[in-house]
Amino acid sequence: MHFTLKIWRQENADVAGGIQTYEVDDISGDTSFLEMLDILNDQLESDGGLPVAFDHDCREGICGTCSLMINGTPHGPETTTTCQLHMRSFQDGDTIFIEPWRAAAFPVVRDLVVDRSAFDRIIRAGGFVSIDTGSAQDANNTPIPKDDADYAFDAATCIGCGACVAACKNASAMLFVSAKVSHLAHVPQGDAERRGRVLSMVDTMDAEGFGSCTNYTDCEAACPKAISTDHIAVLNREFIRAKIGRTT
Amino acid sequence: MVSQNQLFRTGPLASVLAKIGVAITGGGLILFVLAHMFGNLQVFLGPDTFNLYAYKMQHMVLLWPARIGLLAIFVAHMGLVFLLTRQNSVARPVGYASYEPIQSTVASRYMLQTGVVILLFVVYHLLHFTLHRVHYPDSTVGFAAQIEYQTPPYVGQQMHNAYDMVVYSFQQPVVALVYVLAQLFLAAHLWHGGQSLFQTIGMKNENRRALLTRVGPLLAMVVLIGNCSIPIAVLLNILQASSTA
Repeated sequence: MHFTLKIWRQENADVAGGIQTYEVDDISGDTSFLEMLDILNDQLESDGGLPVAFDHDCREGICGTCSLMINGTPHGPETTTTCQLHMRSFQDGDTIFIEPWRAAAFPVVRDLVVDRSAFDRIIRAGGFVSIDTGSAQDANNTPIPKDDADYAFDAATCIGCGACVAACKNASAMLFVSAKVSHLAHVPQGDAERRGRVLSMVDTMDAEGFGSCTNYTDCEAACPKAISTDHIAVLNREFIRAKIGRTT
Repeated sequence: MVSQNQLFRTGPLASVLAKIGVAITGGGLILFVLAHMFGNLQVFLGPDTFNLYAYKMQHMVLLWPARIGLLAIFVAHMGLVFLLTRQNSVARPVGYASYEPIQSTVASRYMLQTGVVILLFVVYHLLHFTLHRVHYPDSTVGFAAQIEYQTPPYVGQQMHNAYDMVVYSFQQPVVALVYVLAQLFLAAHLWHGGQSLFQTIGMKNENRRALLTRVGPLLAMVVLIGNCSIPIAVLLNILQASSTA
């Protein structure tokens, strides 16, 4: 297959970037999207050019390192991560736009690599359980309804890739923040700190410069883990409860 | 460890709080839009009923507190949206060369634009029917501004001829068209806002989502049909002037 690639190139955060056009040939449909970029980079290096910088790690769809806005959609046309996207999802001869996530809170480091440490700072603001629970107790000592456990797990599948921010017209991080708030609000371990958690995480989210949620719901469609915007309703509910008073 | 200080540290106006404010004021405005529409639909019950309704509204004890309260809700709705929009516009300083909305509705993406059109329409609407500054009919078209009420117990009472004001106004096709177009923008705004507010105040969940998401479109259609029925009925001569000057 042959593709025309329109790729955002930017040397570093301090200089302006722009879209550059490249051509790749003889790409098999079974090539993953990142392998296709590897092939392009080999080509660029053998021509004496600089390879395109992009984030990647496990290439198994579980680590959340890969990103890429592909033809205006985070992670491209399939509900999966960029590393699990294959070129058979495109037509021979397609022109493919490849851009970094765009958000003030995700500054470009180089080319397609953005700094997503704002997410780490949001998690650090309360996205964990600080209580030392001692050694493991017997299984099922604390009964948790199956629905709650499943719901918490659905939220906990967030890999923190940032596709929700990239997809949102407002560059809002509400789906990411809500996934963690909802996950911990549905299990007893998270209950003790739920009030402070939601306030602190929302505060940090605002301070990092993310936009606000206007319920477009493009985030849930872009999420490679299909995390529902129902969790955003949970976040809003937790926020109201935290503002009104203690929940325990 | 999350320190207590960190736990309780929160800005004076968190984005989520501002959004809840937009949702609640929006809900208040929706209730007003519905009350306004059902009040106005009394035009189909004839001139006496409609003029008496208008008279009672005008002479309501709480008229000014209600007007000021409504204005405050309207201003709060716009003010909070202004703050959130500013936050959103700085949140993405560099846009995409290629950007495809995935599942968001057109109505949701153009809330600001439809909102601005509604604001302009409200100004026009007040100048027209409340302050009588623009497009207010005069006696040259046969409009008598005051009428004597015919039905007990108000026989002989002088009242503003609100019924004929509506009819003579909408007999001008341009005026009727402006109203119908404005209702399309209002319907688009309600299509998203009428269901989005439930999400913002945390009412949606897996079970209620499908139902609550339908509230917006339903509300939009009810308001669109209800409000447009009046200018359309005038243009179709279903509603006719009750008296001539």
